[in-house]
Amino acid sequence: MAHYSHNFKIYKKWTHVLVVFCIIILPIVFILLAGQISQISTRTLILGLGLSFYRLIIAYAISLVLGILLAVTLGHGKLGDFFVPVFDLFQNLPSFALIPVFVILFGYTNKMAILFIASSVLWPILFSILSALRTAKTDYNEAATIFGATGLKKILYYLIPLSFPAIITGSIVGISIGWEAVIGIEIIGLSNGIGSFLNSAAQSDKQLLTLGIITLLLLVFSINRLVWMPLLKKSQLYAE
Amino acid sequence: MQNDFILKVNDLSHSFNEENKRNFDVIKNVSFSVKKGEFLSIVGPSGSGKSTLLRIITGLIQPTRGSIELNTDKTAMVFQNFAIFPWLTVHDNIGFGLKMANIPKKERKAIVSEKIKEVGLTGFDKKYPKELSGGMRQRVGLARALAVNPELLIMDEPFSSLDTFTAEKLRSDLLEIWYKYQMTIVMVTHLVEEALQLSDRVIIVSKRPAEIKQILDVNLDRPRNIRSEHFFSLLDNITSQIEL
Repeated sequence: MAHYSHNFKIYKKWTHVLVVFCIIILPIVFILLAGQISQISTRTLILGLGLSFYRLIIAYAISLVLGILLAVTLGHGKLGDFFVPVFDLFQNLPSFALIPVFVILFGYTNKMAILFIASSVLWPILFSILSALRTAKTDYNEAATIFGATGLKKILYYLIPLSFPAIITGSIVGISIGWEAVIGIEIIGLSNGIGSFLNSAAQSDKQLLTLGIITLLLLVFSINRLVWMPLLKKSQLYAE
Repeated sequence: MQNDFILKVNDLSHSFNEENKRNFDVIKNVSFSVKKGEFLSIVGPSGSGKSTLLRIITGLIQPTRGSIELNTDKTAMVFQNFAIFPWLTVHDNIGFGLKMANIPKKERKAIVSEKIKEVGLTGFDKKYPKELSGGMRQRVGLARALAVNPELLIMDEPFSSLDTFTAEKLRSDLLEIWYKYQMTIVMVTHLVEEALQLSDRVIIVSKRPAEIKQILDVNLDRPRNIRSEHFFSLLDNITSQIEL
């Protein structure tokens, strides 16, 4: 059986550094090499992908914090009986229908894009945590209460660790929906980012389009292998 | 003297409100008191509301009628299905109550190490619950309760999820711990033999709604001979009162 240290380290120190390094380096090396070989300009591709990734990360961070907060404060117990149907109603709004609203509020800006992406990423994370909290064994909750976990302590030392596997699975789904949202909004409403890059490459340079798609896949794949898979493995520990 | 009592249950009744159904009573007019240092067992058929009674005593559930007087604020509980947290190591599970009470890390570590030794988990402090057997998980549950130095230890069918050999070993360990700590124990069980083997008094409750049928003093010498004639006559007496 695998041995884990009891804090949240998912990699040993050196591998961790290497992993972060790989996420950034691998796609760039690939683009540069491919660019060299096929003699096409890859600067806009790198910048575009970087910008899209940045938007996604910020939107994910917002969704993660908001999802955890909403779930642990409103999502369980009697409050949850009221709020879960409300969340479900909002979840069912097609997020692309909200683009005009975000545009009216924030214009064609980075802020608009990030908030729109967050509005899609939030739901899988929130609902994943909600179902974890609502199906948790009641004696865990009782033990937490009896041994003094109340208020903020209950959230930090009971509800969040209890939700950890759900946070991971919710994040995996959320990030994949987030990629759709970021590329969608960049094609529809913005003139930069990987979505916009692919859109214009499709009309001018098919080679560039292929390169763009492969690079994007490589980035998505590296994040999945290097971040989510180890976290998912770690979360299996939580199952009794 | 009033202070002899660590717990008083006064005319307690409880009913659950199920949606679209009439209220149904789980506990009816239950009164008893528990002396400091006493080992009290509550026996009755499964589903008779015994566990609900414990949850009312610990404050997890507010009773419909009646009251609880607790003469201590140091209570702890051991659960039937252990309820130790799968995301914490043995060490951190045992220290959970201490951490919630803001006991400094160093002090916490010392107490936890002591409890680990006491319940026989030496060498397992870095293991996770899923790496442990049922008996060992319950040892963690017991150590977590002992760590907060309880004056009143509440136990809900603590040995019912274990095999008979493991349960027997844990029972004798529990008695040793009880002698050492001089704490009060209130235990719910459906095993009459277990109640007789361990406790000073046994409360026999009826089928739902739980009403007290008899409070029996177990005047057997310790350590108890569970093969003696007296033991068997008490066993028969209680068993005959429990409705199925």
